[in-house]
Amino acid sequence: MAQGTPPWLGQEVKMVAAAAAMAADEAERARGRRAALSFATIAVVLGLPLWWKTTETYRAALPYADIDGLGQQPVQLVVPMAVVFGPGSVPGDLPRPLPFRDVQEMEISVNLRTSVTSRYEMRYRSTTAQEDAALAVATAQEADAALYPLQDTTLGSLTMYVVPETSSLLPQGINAYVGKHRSALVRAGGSLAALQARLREVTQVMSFTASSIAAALSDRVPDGQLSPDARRNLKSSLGYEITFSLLNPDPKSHTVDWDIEGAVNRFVKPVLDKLSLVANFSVDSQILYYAVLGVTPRYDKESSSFLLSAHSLPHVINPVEARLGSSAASLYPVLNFLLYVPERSHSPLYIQDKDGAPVSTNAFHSPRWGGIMVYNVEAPASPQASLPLHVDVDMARVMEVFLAQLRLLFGLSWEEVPPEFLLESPGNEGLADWELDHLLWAHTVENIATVSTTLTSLAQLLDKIGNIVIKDDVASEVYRAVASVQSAVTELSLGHLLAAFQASKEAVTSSERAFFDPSLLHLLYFPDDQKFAIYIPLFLPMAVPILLSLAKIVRETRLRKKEPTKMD
Amino acid sequence: MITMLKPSPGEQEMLWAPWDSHHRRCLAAAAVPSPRGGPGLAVWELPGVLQRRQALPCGEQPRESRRPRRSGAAKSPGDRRSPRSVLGTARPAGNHPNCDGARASPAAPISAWQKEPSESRSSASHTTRAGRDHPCGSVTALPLAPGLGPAQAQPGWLFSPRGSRLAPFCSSRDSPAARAPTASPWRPRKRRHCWRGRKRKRRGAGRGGMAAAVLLLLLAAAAGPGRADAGRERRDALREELLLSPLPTGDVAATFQFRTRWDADLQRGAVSHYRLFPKALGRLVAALGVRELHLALTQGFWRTRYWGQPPLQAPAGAELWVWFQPTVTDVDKAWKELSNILSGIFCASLNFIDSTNTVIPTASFKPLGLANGTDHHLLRYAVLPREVVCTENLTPWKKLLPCGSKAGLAVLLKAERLFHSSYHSQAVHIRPICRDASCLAVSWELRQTLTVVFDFFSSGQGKKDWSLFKMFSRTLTDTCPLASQSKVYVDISPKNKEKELLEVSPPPTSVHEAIVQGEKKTYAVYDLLSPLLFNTSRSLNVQLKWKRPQDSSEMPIPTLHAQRYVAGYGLQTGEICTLIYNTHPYRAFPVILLETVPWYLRLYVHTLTIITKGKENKPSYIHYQPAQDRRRPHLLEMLIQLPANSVTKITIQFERALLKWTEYPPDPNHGFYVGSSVLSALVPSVTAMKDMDVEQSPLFASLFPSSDGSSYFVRLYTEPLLVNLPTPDFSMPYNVICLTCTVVAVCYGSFYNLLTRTFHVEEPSRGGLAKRLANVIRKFRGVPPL
Repeated sequence: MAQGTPPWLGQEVKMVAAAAAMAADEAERARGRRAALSFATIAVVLGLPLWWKTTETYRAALPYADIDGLGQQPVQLVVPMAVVFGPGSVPGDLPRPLPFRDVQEMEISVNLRTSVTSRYEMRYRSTTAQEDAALAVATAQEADAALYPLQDTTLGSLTMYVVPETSSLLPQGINAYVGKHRSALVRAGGSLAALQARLREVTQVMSFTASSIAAALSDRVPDGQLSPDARRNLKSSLGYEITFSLLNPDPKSHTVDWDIEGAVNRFVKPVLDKLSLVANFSVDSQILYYAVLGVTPRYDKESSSFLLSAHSLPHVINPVEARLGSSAASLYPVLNFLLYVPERSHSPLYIQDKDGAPVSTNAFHSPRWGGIMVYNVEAPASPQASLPLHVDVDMARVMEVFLAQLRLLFGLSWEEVPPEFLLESPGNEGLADWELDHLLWAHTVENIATVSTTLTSLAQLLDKIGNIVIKDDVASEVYRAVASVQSAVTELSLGHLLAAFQASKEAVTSSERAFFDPSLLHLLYFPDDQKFAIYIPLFLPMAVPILLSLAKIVRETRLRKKEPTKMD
Repeated sequence: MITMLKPSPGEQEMLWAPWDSHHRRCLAAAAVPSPRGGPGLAVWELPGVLQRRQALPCGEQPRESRRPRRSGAAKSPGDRRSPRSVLGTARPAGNHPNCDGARASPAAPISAWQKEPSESRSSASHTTRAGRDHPCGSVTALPLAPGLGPAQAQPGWLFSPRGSRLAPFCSSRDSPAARAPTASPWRPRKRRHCWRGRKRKRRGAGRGGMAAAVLLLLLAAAAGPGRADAGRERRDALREELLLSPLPTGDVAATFQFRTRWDADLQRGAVSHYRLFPKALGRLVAALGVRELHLALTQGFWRTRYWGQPPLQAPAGAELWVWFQPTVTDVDKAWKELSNILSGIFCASLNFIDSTNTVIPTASFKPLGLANGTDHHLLRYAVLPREVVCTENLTPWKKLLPCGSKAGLAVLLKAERLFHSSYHSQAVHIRPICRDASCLAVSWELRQTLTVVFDFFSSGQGKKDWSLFKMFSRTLTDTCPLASQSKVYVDISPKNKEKELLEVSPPPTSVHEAIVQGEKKTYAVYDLLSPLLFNTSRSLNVQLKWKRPQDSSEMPIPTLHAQRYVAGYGLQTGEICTLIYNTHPYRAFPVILLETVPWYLRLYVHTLTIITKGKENKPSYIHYQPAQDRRRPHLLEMLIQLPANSVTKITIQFERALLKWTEYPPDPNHGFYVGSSVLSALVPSVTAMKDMDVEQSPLFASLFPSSDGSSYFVRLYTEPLLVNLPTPDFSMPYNVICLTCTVVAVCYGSFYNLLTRTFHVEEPSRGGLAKRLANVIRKFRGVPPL
């Protein structure tokens, strides 16, 4: 290069310079590799977590395992029960001397996954002197009243008084008498086995039967296995609104008056006072004019009356319901009881059952909705009577039907009672204590099932859609629901019905609040294509050089590994 | 915040007690010390459900808004012209030296009641819950189906109770009745009662307490016999009427009024048995502690200038104002819940009422019914100018009528005709009223009104004749059997002293003369309940014919009317101008102006100018509540004296705010609505009015509480405004993202290259381009290369 230097020297200098350049080049290349690697490291170690952290949705931890466990958790219903043998009624084949304890278990299987075990914890003992005295009265009613102060009055517990087979307390042909409270009188029936069979029947009437539990769990029972009646009962809820509506489609001809206020105070209120333990009730009433049924009744010449056949009844309700008005002020389910006074051109109107026979009460009910009663107005003696005709509704007759329908809708019917049983009428309260227990058992089981369904579907939903924000208060509601439902199950297995019911109610409240929390809806729509559209302009130009240089480094190291072998 | 100045002598007339009955006068005069230490000015009692609109020459109809809503129903073919009539007077108003009241107010401390409500429950949860529990009507049919199976085997479905078992608890009539609680719902609860208690209280506290006790005793005694025969006696009544009035322009206004009056106290939980009063509203009133509720849904704009004062006024869109009971602790929560429930009942978007469009007026809206006090913290007022009213709102409104649309005047309410009109307004007013003249007990009144204006001049080939059938495509055939009064009034007042211009057929049952809004009116009355009417023909089709074509050159101009517009240009600042006209030849009167402006128009109160006849007009009362971004609108209330025969121009400048890009509606270029401003005034009457019995007079007249013979109350609404906000390019965020990312990528790329590339010096091998070119040329020439 330099002028005047010998050519060999120049060549040497050139070689040295080339070697130096090569070394420098190599060092430079190594530095480049290190720089590229550190870029990649920073991007992976710092960039990715930072991006992940800043874009992630907040999801509080939920007890997924516990929620899964709720579905499989066996529910055990424990009924504490006292069997009290009156004088002369102790069967000869008792295994041990009185008093002693015994346990009977029964399994109610609902579907393959769910099964409910019922467990009767029986305490056999003989009567005390006071009970002897109480049983010495003439009739079963008096005995029931006299025994009431002596019993265990916890909800869900039962007391069976065994009377001799020949006792005159019970009428002829009657084997068991169920009182107003939580006790029953049962004939001894000779052997212990016969007595136990009889006791089992009585306890099922007084607490729960397989079918009542299955009805409570009707959501889980496969279709077709359930009797239609099981779907009649109202779903368990924290409150109900009862609305009595008087439908007067023809106010030109009829002026209808009903003393609904008096009737509610006289007939409905006592029942609802008793039921207030189960739920909150509100009662109101309204009169709707020009509200017609959706079906034109058929005229029957023979009886000169109008007939509404059974198959047309399903079409009656919908047009009427549009007029009933919404219960805007609360969220509780509404029970509708409609009293329909048919228009003058369609009266008298009778409802026919499947066989074509008129229904004696002229009423029908719709499951989980309410009931409708047709109230015919007697035609005036003279056709010239001035219109409108004034009608005073006989409220006792109407309320008798409505209250019976109310009981049916709550699943309190006497249809499953064997004929040799005698049930004491509940009197003014409209509801015996044991019927209340019956309702509480069913509602507790149903609440537990509802909570587990709600929580399971919530967990599934949150699992499926990762964008949903789970706030801490939603999570705490879920935790509370799980804890309450577990405590409800525990209380049930201890035989504390009331505590279990309260806990199950709390669980329902919490789980519904969690499920319907509006914050769960916030980030629902955040589609992937938009995400990519936003990320790609940044990520692509950043990632491509890093990836390319990484690939280059890999290629070079591979080459260098090969080179030494070539040199050798 | 509130500045009260000494009223001028003319304003002393403002101390009225304009209740619809003379019993309530005592409420009006309670002295309030003025902040300036001058003689105190009393509380103004401005009554009125009366809503009125003012005409604007250039843009009449508010534009129909395109609201994203569920309805698939055909919207009414409304006038789509915009009310933006910029009149070119974009002269910025300078600082006004005298307007110190206005200037002082924004700096004033914000009082405690401006705290914002925290909306805990959204409407979404409401609807979701309801939908879940009871999804649709078909649900009822479904559960029936399984019940059908065992009908013969199972007596449960077709119910036949086991009589023997049922009988005991149902037929034991005496004992439950005997055990029934002695406190009947009809027994009056401990309620401090209106002015009786109040009068006593003014005399002395001790005597007041005693008087209250005596009053309670009296009440108990009065209610005793009432309870005994409560079953027999009708405690509720329905009165319905239709007022047909030809308007000066040739249009016809039809006003329906249905008044349900219930002699029961709808207090919390006391009553739950409904007859004529709709249960849905009754439960609402009872559950949420509502004292008074006024809801109006309006499509179109009432052109006061051309149509005169309407019997009922409402601003375009939805208007809701509610007074709550003093027992309501959290008024904001109750208000939120109420608007959500009403939204469900009336199928309207009232659930969009929130703190950004709710105001608490201090002077403009006073209770129309009985009230123990007028603590305006219990009042909430909101207007949704964007709301579109259509059939889906009419159907639930009709359902509230006892006879539905099956009988009576409501037969005429056919949606396809009602919405084929220039103006449609339906309203619901609930208020407590006096049961009788002695006013010892409370009754509740539900007033459902519907006003519709038909344009016959353009659709009827220039003829102004009309008939019921032409208007509604129906005629009246029978009466609602539940109505205790059912009348059709036709306004046949002679105009311009010319009589016998028009002719109605069939001949009316009677002729009623009354003074309504300062004008002497003559009405032809058709009493549908009178047996004579339907004797001759089976249906009633009221017809009106003009005997000779009427020259419409001279139209009576109403005493008070107003117009409002947005002035200014560009997208940064603007000006709201309100012109208020007093056409009375010799009387001045004060008017209360209420302006509600959304927060995104930032008002500058120092630019507020009020000019009458070229001179500054100083308002004697200003209440200004500044807006808070995204939380609260501006509220400006002023009491302005209008001199006789004058135009008052009120201008205030504003600046348009920039919204966040998610806050824009789907159609941001449509503009943003500013609700109508409200004018309330006692307008001096030209004709002397006599005090009439409120119960007996027609309903449209009894709605106007006239204080004395010399003036009548008017509430006017101006046009809603449509203001354009600077609208961003909505693809901008994505562009910004792309641009930023590109910049980042370029910087990052060069930085990356710098750091990772190996640089080494390269020997210049072949030289530059010039040298290479020279070599090529030299090669051609045969010369050795360089």
